[in-house]
Amino acid sequence: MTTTPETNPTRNLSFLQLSASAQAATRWFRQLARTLKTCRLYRAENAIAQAARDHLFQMLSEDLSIHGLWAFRVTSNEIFLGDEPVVRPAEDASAEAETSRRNPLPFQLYRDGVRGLAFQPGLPRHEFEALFEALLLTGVGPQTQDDLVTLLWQANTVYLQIEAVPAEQTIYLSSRRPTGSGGGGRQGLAYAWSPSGAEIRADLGQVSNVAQGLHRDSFDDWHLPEASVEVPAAYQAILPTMQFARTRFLTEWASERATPWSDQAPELLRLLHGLNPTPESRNVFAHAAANWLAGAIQSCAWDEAQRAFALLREFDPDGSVTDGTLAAAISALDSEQITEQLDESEAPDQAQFSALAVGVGQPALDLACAVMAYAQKSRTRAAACTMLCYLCNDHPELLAPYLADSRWYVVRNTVFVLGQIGGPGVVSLLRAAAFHPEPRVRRQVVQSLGSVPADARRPILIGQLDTRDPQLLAASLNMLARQKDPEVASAILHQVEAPDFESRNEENQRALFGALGEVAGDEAVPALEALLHRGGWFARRTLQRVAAARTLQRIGTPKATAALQAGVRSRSEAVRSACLEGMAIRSQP
Amino acid sequence: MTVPAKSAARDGTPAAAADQRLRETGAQVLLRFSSMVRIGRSYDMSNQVFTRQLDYFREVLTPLLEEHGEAVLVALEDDLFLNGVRVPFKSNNLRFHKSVLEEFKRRRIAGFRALKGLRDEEISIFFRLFLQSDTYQGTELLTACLAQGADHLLPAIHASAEAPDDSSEYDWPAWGAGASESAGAGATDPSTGGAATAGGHGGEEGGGTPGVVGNAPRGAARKSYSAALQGARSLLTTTSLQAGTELRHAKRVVQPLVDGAFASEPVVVGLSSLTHHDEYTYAHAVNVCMVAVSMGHYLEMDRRALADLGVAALLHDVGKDVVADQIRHPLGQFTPEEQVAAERHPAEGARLIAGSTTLNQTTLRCMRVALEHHMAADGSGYPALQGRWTASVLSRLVAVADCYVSLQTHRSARGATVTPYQALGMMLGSLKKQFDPAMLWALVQTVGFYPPGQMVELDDGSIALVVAPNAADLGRPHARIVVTAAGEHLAPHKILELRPVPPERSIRRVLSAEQYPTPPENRSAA
Repeated sequence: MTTTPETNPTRNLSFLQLSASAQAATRWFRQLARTLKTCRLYRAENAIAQAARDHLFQMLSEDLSIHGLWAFRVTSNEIFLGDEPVVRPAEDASAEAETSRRNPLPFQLYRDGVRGLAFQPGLPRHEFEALFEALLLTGVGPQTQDDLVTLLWQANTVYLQIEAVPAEQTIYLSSRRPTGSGGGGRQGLAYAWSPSGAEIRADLGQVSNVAQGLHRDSFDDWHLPEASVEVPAAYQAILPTMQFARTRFLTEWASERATPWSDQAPELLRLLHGLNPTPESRNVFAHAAANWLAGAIQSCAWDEAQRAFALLREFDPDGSVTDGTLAAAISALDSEQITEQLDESEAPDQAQFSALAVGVGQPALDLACAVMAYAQKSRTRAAACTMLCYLCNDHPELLAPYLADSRWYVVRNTVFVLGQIGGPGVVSLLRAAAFHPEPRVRRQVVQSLGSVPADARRPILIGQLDTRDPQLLAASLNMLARQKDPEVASAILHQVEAPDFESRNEENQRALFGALGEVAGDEAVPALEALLHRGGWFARRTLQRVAAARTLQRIGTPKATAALQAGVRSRSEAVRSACLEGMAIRSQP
Repeated sequence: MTVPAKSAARDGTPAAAADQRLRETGAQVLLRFSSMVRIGRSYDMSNQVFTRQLDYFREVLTPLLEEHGEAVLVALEDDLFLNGVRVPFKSNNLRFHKSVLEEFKRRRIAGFRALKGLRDEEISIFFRLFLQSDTYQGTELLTACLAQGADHLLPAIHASAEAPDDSSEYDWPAWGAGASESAGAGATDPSTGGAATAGGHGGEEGGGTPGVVGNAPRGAARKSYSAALQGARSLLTTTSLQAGTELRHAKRVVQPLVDGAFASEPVVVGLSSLTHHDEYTYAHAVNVCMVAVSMGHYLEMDRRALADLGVAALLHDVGKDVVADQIRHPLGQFTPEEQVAAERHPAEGARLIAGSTTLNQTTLRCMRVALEHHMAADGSGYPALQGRWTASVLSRLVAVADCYVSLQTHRSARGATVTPYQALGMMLGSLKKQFDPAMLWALVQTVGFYPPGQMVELDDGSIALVVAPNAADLGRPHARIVVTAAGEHLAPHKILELRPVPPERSIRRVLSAEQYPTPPENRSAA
C-alpha cells in the first residue's frame, strides 16, 4: 500500500459525463442523504420514514441488478465509484463547511475509518437496514456507543463489505535502507520497514527493566491449588450435568439481554457507592450520571434522560459537583439536531424536554437558548422561551452572554425572555441590548421594557429617541408618554430643538410633538413658544410651527393657552395661522 | 539506525502516552505546515509574516525532534502519519489535513522528514523549493534539497504500511528452558497496517460449535493477537483511563479476536508464547480476552455479545492499578490490610470504568465484569454483595478465563512450573465448585484436554508440543514433534506435525515442567 500522488482527470466530470452506473450511484447517495435526514426527524414507525426507507432499498436493489457490483472508495469529502466521483465536495473552499453539513456522508464514513464500501447484487434487506441504522446512529452527536465499523462488523454482512483502517493505525518508520526493490537507496526514501526483535518486545512490554506499564498488575489474585486432576476424567465427570448447565446458561443470558441497561445502571451505581461510600465515589458516579444524561438528551430519549437526571440528583442533590461537567457535556451536543427533532415531536415530548431542562437548571441554559434560536416551529420556540423564563427567573443575568450572540434573532429572543421575566433585575441587560445594531432587537427591547418599573425604563427609552426608525420611535414614545413627566418632556424637547430635527421624516416629527403634548407641562411652554415664533418677520408656514401650536393646545394650561393667544395676535401670518390651527383642535371631538 | 518512534517505551516513556502526544502534535504540525505554504505563496521569505510562521513551525517540531530525533510526516492513501502514528481526522483540522495532502500529492512526494539539528535556513530552503511545485517534484525535490544543504529537512518519497518481511506463517511457541526469555519471539510483527475487512465473516453465527477439523488452521492467529495486544496497550493505560476510556476503540481492538474465534483460529497459541510471568496487565488482559471470547463463541453468543465480552475481559482488572501500591507481599502472605486492598480491586475497577466512560450497555457489562469476576458460584469470593445480587453471565465467563490464565502465570515459585494441562486440571479439580459448569465445559472446548503449549509424550516415546486443540476430538490435539522416538531433537526448521494426532497414535502421558526436554543449544550454553 503506497501513496499514489497523481491527479485524477475524472474528478471534475459533470454529472452527465459520468457513466450510467456512476450516475445511478450519485442519485442513490443523494437519496440516502435525504432519507437519513427524514428518518432522523421522525420516529422509526412513522409512515413517511418507512416509505422513504423502502424506496431507498428498492432503488439500491434495482441499481445493483442493472449495474452489478458497486465498489466505492471513500475519502474525507468524496466517494468514488472506480475513478468517478459520486459524492463530491463543494466547488470552493468557502462553501465547503456548508456542503459538508448538507451531505456529511463521506466525512462520517471516513471519520470512523471506512475507506471502501462495496454492495453486491442481491443485497438483502436486513443488510441494507444494518447499514442504514449504523449511519443513523453514528450520524448524530459525539457520543454514540459504537462506531460505524463496529456496527457493521456486528451485523456480519455478506453482500455489504467494508474496508476499514484500524481505530489507531501505526506505520513503521526507520532510516534503515530497505532491501530489495522499490525503495531506492537514497536518504529520505526508506519508510517501508517494520520493527523486529527487541523493538517488538519493547512494544509488547516484554523487555525487562522497562518502565512499568501504566496499568499495573503487581499481585496475584487467584490462589494456586495444591493439586491438579487428570483432565479427560474430570471432563467426563461434568458431562452428565452439562445439558442442564448449558440450558440454564442460555436462559440466564437471554434474561440478561432482555433487561435494558438503563434499568440496571442506577442499581449498579448505587451498589458500587454502597461498597465505597466516599465523597470521591459519589463524585465519580455523579459524573457518570451526568454524562449519561447528556447522551440521553442527544438521543432525545426523554424517559431515559429523566431517569439519568433522577440518578444524578441522588448523587449530587444540589448540582454543586457536576454542574460544570454537565454544562460542558450539554454544550457539546448537537443542539441543531435536537431542535430539529423537537420541532417534529409531539407536544408531550416537548413538555418532557422543557420539564427536564428546567429541572437540570443552569447547565441546560445553552441548550435551551440553542433550541430557541434554531426552532422552526413556534410551539418549540415558545416552549424554549417558557423554559428559559423558568430557568433564569431568579438570575436573569445568566442570559447576559446570549445578548452578545452574533445572531440577531437569538438576541431578540433573549430580550423577549427578559421581558417575560421583568422586574428591575433585567434593566441593565435590556439597557445593553438597547444599543444593538439591529432595529428588530431594539424594538423588542422597548416592548420588553413594558415589564420593568417606569423609573428604570425611562432612561433607556429616552436613549431611543434619537432613532430614525419610525416603529422604534413610536414604540418608545408610546411607552414614555403615559403620564406627565418633565424629564421625558425635556428629552423630547431636546430632540425637537435639535438642528437636524427637520431632517427627520414627517411621521417622526409628528410623533415627537404628539408625545410632547402628552408629557409636557408649563416648563415646555417657553420652548414651544419660541418654536412658534421662530423666523420672525420671515416666518413661513412649517410643520414644526403648526405642531408646536398644537402641542401648546394639548398642554392646555393657562400659560400654554396664553402663549397661543399671543400667537394669534402676531404680525406674522404664518404664526397666526398656526395658532389658529392649533386652537381649532379644541373643538374637534 | 534511527530507532523507530514506537521503541520509546524502552526509554521509560510509556508508548501509549507518546503516541497520544504525537496525535496531538500532528494536528499542530498540519496547521503550521499548511500555514507555511499558504503564507509562502503570498509573501517573500524575508518578510516577517513568513519568518513568524517559520518560527511557529520550528517551535512545533522542536519537542518532537528532541524526543524522537526525527519528525516524519507522511501521507498514506488519505491519511497522514506523524512518526508512524496516524494523525486523527477531525472536523476542525479537516481543512489543514486536506491542504497538506493536496500539497504532497501535487509534488509527488509522501511527506517530509525533519531531523534533530534542523536550522532555520534549512526550513527556508525546503519551503523555497517546495513552493516551486512546477519545477521540483518527487526525487527532483529531494535532490534539490540535498544539493542546497537542507540535510535536516527533506521530502519523503515513499510510505508504506506493509512490512516487507510480513509472513503469513506464525512461529511455534517457544519451549524448553529458554521459553520465558524468548517470549517475544513468537510475535514477529505487531503491524496493524493496511486495511481490515469487516463483514463477510459469517457462516457460523450462532450455529453450533465450531471445530478444528483436518489441518489445524494457521495464519491469522499471531497477527490477531499482536494487533489486539497493541490495541490493548494503548487502551489499558492510566492516562487513557483518566482521559476517558474509549470503548469504541476497545471494540475495534477485540474484533480480530472475535473473528478469530468464528474462524476457529487457535488464538490461544499466543497464550503460551507471550504470557510467562509477564508483569503487564495488557498482555494478561488480552490472553483472558482471547480465552473468554473463544469460550463465549462455544456458548453460542453472537458477535455483539462477544465484542462486549472481549472488551469486558480486557478491562476486568483495571482496578488493580488503584491498590497496587498498598500490596507488598505475595498472595498467601498478605497482611490483613493487604487482603482488604486486594479485595477492593474489583469495586475500584468498576468505579474507574464508570468514571472514565459514558454509560451504555457495553460500559455496564464491563463494570459488572470488573466488579463480579471474583464472585464465586459457591458464594465464596469477593466482594460480598448483599441481597439477591448475582454475578452476570459475562462475569462468570471472564472469571473462568481469568483464573485459567492466571494459574499459568502465577508469581509463586510453584507457579513457575505450572503447565497448561495442570492449570486446566486445577480448574476442573479443586476449583471446580467456584465456577459455573457450563463455563468449564466451554473452557475445555476452547483449549482441549491438552492445551496449546503443553508437552506430551506419545505412545512411541516421542515428545510433542500441542499447538492447537481439535474440537472434533478433544483428546487428539494438533501437535508438533520436538523430540523423536529415537531421542533426536528436531531443529526448528525440521517440522514434523500430527494434524491432529491420528487414531492409531495415542498420548501416553503429559509432561510436567521439569520433564520438558531442553533443546541441545540450551544445554550446551548451560
